[in-house]
Parts: sequence; C-alpha cells; structure tokens
Amino acid sequence: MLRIARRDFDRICAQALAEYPHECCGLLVEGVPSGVSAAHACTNVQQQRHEENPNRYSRDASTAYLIDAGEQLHIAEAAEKAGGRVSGCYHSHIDCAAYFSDEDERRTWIFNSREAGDDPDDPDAMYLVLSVYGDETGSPRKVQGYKCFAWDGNHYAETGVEIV
Amino acid sequence: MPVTVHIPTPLRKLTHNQAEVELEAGTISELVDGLDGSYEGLAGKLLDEDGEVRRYVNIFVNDEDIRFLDGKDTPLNDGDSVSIVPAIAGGS
Repeated sequence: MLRIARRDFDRICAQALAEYPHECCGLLVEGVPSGVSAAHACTNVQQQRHEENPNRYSRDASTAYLIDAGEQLHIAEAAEKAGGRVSGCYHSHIDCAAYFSDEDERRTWIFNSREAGDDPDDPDAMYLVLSVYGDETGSPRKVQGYKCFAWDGNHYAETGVEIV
Repeated sequence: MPVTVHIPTPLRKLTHNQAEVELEAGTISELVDGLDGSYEGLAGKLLDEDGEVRRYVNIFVNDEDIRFLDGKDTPLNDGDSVSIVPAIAGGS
C-alpha cells in the first residue's frame, strides 16, 4: 500500500500533464515514522540519451523514462540522512493505460538475475504509474487514471494507493 | 588513503553485506578489477560482455557521473568517494 500526501499526488499529476507527450518520472521517499511518501520530481533523461545514441537507447521519452542518476543519488542520500528511504518511483504512460509494462518490469532487475530466480533488485519498491491522454489523441490533456504495483514475492501485483 | 566505494543493496551479498568498501585504485578500471579480485563476480555486474559499464549502471566519483568524465579511465585520488547507482527506468 502506497500512502502519499494529497499535495504530492497533485504535484505528480501536474508534472505528468506538463511533460506530456514525454513520460514524466520521479522518486517516492517515505518519511519516518509517518510512512507517508513524498514525491521528488526527476528529469527524464531518456530523450537526451535517445538523441545521443539511438542504437543503444532505441526508445524516445514518449515510451520510456530514465531517471537522471545524479538527481537519484542526491535524493537517496538526503533521504537516508533524514532517516527515510526511497520507497519507489513514479512515471507516466502516454496515451495508454496505467499498467506495469514488460519494460517497467524488466528494468527492476539490474544486478539480480530474474532467470536465476532472484527477486528484483529492490523487492520493497512501489511503482506508481499514471495514464495521461492528451493532445496527440485530439482530446484535452488529462490524467486518466493511476495504479501502483509492488512485488508480491512471485510477480508484480497491483497494490493500493491511499491519498492522505 | 584509499578510495571508498558505496555498494548498492543488491550487490552487498557479494561484499559480505558491507555497504562500503575501501581499496587502492588509480582509475575506475583498476577499481573494478580490484573489486572483482576481492569480491568475485562484481565486475560481471558492472561491465557488459565488451567490458563497458552496463547501460543501466551508473558510477559516480564524488557526485560526478563518469560518463561525463573519462569513463572507465576516470582517474581516482586518495579519499575519493565512488558510488554505484543502478538506473531507475521503464516505459510503456
């Protein structure tokens, strides 16, 4: 169950709308002892990587996200210093549903081996996915829905979102 | 003074649960070799089959991404702090 403050959830939605037709992304940092996650917007560097090296990064930012690793490092360090932790991340899907895609799933095994039966690298992480439809479909830009996913020990399953 | 390397959680099973390790190295390449010598299998987690840093692995020296320095040839100095950061990525 992801618990997130209303103002943070609203900020994520605003970011997703502003960055359309690119996927937006950011980190969720869980505070202690509240257990409520705060949103930290990050730069999606996928477009830049794609333009620099389309062979290595075949997708552009309309179908992929890659969190700026420097921002990720600083947010994680600050969270640890404050006694909290990075509890997961969020991103938007463009003109399609909020679901945990094969690409989303694949990227949660960086060091661990799925083929060897390992858990994902961070089996406690939660992944909030927003569905954003807009200009490209000829309709007003809007957040159509959202879902959160977490590892249940065997596969990724939908988990609840409590907006507090 | 050696270099301090910050090990991400999923790699700590290779470093006997150590979150930080220290070793002497003059470049990132030497560091990876040294890590693999002390903790077998670490190089394979960081480098691809061509010996390049894996696409979804980031290495920082004192908060600077080695992609924007000299890559694996990035020089290291005594007291430097090296962080290994797995990418967070995905898509529809």
